[in-house]
Amino acid sequence: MKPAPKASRSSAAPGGKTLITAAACAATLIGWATLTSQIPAETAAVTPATTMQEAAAPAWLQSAPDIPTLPPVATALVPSGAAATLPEQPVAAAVVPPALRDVQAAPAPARLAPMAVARTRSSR
Amino acid sequence: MAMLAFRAMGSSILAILERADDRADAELQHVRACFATWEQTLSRFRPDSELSMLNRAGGGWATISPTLASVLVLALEVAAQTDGLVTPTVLDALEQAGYDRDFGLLAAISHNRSAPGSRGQSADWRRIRWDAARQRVAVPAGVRLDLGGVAKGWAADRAVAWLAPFGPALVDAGGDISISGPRADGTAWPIAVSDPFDADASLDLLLLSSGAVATSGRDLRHWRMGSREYHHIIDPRRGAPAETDLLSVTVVAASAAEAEAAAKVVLILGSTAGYSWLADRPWLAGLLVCADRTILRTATLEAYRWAADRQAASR
Repeated sequence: MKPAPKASRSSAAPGGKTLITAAACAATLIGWATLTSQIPAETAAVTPATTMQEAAAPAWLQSAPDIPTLPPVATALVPSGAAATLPEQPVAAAVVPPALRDVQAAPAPARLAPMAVARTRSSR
Repeated sequence: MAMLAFRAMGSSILAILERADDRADAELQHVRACFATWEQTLSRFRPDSELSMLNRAGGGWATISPTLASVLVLALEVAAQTDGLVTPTVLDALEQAGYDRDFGLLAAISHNRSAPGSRGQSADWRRIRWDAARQRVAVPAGVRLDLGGVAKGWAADRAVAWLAPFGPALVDAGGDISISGPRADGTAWPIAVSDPFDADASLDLLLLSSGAVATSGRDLRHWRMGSREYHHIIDPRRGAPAETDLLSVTVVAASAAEAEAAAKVVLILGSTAGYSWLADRPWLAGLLVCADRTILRTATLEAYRWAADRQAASR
């Protein structure tokens, strides 16, 4: 006895399936084309005023920040590797503690007296 | 720099010539030979010196050597300029005070001698007659000459004049110091002024680029006879050692002879009159040390004094 043919999963009407697929693709293309053509019109409708209004910074950000200034701190630490990039006038040199200024203002050491080559005194 | 130290004319002599070759040594030896000759001519302690022979001549005209003539004429000029306060006619007074031999010998015997009396005012230098044309001198009978300090200043000046053509020079004749000019490097000669109370200490450091400096004092050449202390600075007005409140006087002048004479005048006059005498002569500068250790300096001395702050500011 000859087995009964298996039931096939393919459509019983192949020509209709192709038509449906083509129609779907066409509808998709048409929809895409329609949407694409409408984008410039929407963009042009956004006015600059509207943009500024929407991007305005808050008042506290538009004024200078109120940051307290601290006196520079003298330091003798100088990274050895960064010597070549140090500014010509180190910040620390401009701010010298008063006590240290006194030391720097002290007079230079007196020049040594030249050695006498002769000595005047009563006859001997 | 070449230098030579030796003794002559009863004093320590130092000659410096800033030149480093054999010529320097030769010229310094020549200076030493000159001092030996000058001592032989001018010493009152050598019986065979020309001065001693003149002192024994006892009046009348005597032809003298150029060296003795040069020093004698200078001594007479000094006497004229100091109104007789520094005069060559003090030999009798010196011997009367006990200074009748070389000082080194005097110190050894002075304690056994009795105190002498003064013979009064020294002879008037104007009685000495000088005949330049014939280079002869007439010293009155009974007047004897001592050229002491004047001779040392003269010798320092003459020695420097000899050395000067060969390089910068300095000659120190027993504290009478003459220089030829600035040093080879253009700087001044640093010369210390000894403290009469401490021979190793200095009162001032003077910077001299020309001229001379000399010191006269009673701090070293003094001796005791009997109960009295004597020294070799004779006041011709009394014919005896000067009674002065000054211990030593240092003077800067154009020549060592002038400086030595001026220092002696101030010492004899004392601090008050002596300082005034110096102040009236602005071409001189002086440092006076009193017996009570007071130190007086003329305003003109400041130009010569070394001071650390002034030297630093002038750099």
